[in-house]
Amino acid sequence: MRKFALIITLQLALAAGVLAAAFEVSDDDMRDIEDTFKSLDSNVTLKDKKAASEAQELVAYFQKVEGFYAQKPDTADASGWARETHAAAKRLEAAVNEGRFDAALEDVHQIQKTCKRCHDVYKQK
Amino acid sequence: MSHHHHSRRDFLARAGFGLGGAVFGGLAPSGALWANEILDPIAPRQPHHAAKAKAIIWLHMAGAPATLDLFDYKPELVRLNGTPLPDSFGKNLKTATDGGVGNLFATKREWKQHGETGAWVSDWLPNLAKQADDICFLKGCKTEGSTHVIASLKLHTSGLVPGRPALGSWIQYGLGSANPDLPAFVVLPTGVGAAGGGRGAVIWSSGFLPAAYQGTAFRKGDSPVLYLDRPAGVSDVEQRNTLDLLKSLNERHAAQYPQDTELQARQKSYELAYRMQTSAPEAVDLKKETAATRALYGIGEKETDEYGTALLRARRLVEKGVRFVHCISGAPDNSVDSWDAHNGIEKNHSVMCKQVDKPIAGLLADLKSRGLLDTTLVVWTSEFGRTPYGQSGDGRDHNPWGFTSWIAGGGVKPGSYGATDEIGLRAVSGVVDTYDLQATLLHQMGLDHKKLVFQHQGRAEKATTVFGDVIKDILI
Repeated sequence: MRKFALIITLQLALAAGVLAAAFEVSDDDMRDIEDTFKSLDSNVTLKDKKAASEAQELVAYFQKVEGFYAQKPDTADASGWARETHAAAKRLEAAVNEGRFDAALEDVHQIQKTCKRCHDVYKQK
Repeated sequence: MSHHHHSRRDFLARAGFGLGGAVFGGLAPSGALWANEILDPIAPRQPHHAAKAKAIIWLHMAGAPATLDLFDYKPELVRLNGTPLPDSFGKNLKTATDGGVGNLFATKREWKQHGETGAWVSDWLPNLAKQADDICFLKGCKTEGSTHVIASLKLHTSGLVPGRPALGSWIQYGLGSANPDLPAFVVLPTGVGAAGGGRGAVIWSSGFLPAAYQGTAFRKGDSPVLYLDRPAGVSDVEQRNTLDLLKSLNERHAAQYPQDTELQARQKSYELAYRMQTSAPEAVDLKKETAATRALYGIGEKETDEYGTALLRARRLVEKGVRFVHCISGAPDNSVDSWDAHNGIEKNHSVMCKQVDKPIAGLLADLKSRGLLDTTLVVWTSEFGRTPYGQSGDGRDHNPWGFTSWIAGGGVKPGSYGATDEIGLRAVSGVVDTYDLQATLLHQMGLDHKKLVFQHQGRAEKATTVFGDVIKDILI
């Protein structure tokens, strides 16, 4: 039984590792998240609770982006920006859930800044 | 929000209270309007905060001047002249433009520092150099896209594709008009060729804002708007009666289509055009100016007459309450192709600088002497700059990564802000993107770029999209 559990655990760990390694910051994903972000900006401006699910999506995405750059060599700057963006997205999510839309708008603004800084270096034009 | 349920009765009731009332009745929680709300485009509206400036004269150098040869003196570029672009400068440079990367190409200009601010200005702009102490040079400007069309759209509309409103449209939307007899947003194209239009009407379009907010292009000559004059043989009374009948018929028709802003804009434009039959020719009638003033702008001199005329008109329009005047510098003749000097930059920029130098200096001096510079933002900018590396042997390629724009007046501190790297390739400090420039200008006009919102297709759209920071360091 213990042997079976160990195998399952190893398989799960391997699958998780493969999944983590499989995540790439792709143009398609970035375009999708940019669309989400624009919609989020609109919904926060309109004080619309629909922003909550979009903020959640942003948090999940930038968690992956942070992990992606953390493992990539020579990308300390991108790693820092991803970390900042992830943190701002979490703050934003909390603010939206608590109905603090003015504070959320500030975080939206913060996120656009870090996005732009990163894109200036890493976005393929 | 009841924007989906406007009935004809509702519309008529709103119209009965006046269009201005409809504006306030239609406010969304954010203070934004829905796209189909009825709005009187010329009714004055309150700013978000106290404004420092009342008007903007936007000097668009269509085609992209090499600011490395005008304002951004780089001794290191002179030292490295003829050598390949060092890797250290080109790191992470993603955009490859059509011409590739040639060897570094030093400026051939002579440079001096001018005024108390010590601003570097080359010998291509001797008159403007005398106004240096009124100018805030933004030396760390950057944008995206290295093609004229895309970068022009971004500069004027904050979008990379057509369909968004120009800055002048946003300002009219935010503030309304200060003079009901003139358009609040006027465009003054000069020169010949495609660039004379600065990449077309799309850069002064109202985009998704109601059509009444689009820029009105004035023609050269005494009759600024085509077919504006009352036809010969038609009396004022006859014309008024005709317009009244037309108005009545149009109102009946419009009642069936309360969401049709094009129709509303057309109705408004008939009335505005009627009033403009008097106001527009008067606004551009330079015979009312003294000979000294005309000379200040270079009017009467071959190289500067057309552009000087446009800038003197700009001053007169601003004096009369026009909020945004968009002046586009096109090539004066077919000897050069706008500022777009992929080759023969010496000849090109000699011609183009000669065309704008005296008129722009004259505009600044004239505005200042009349006490108008304090409340007028004069903005000199382009879609991008040009590279420190050469192209075609004697030209420069497009450079979206680092260039100079400048602002004078309107509560902006003279001096220098930001910088490019040692060869002028990339903005490295005080970086100003087009979004930041627009946000700052809106701020000086009393508008908050984060609060100036228009709801289009269910989304709250903003003048600078989701980007933009006010450059607080340059404000008085």
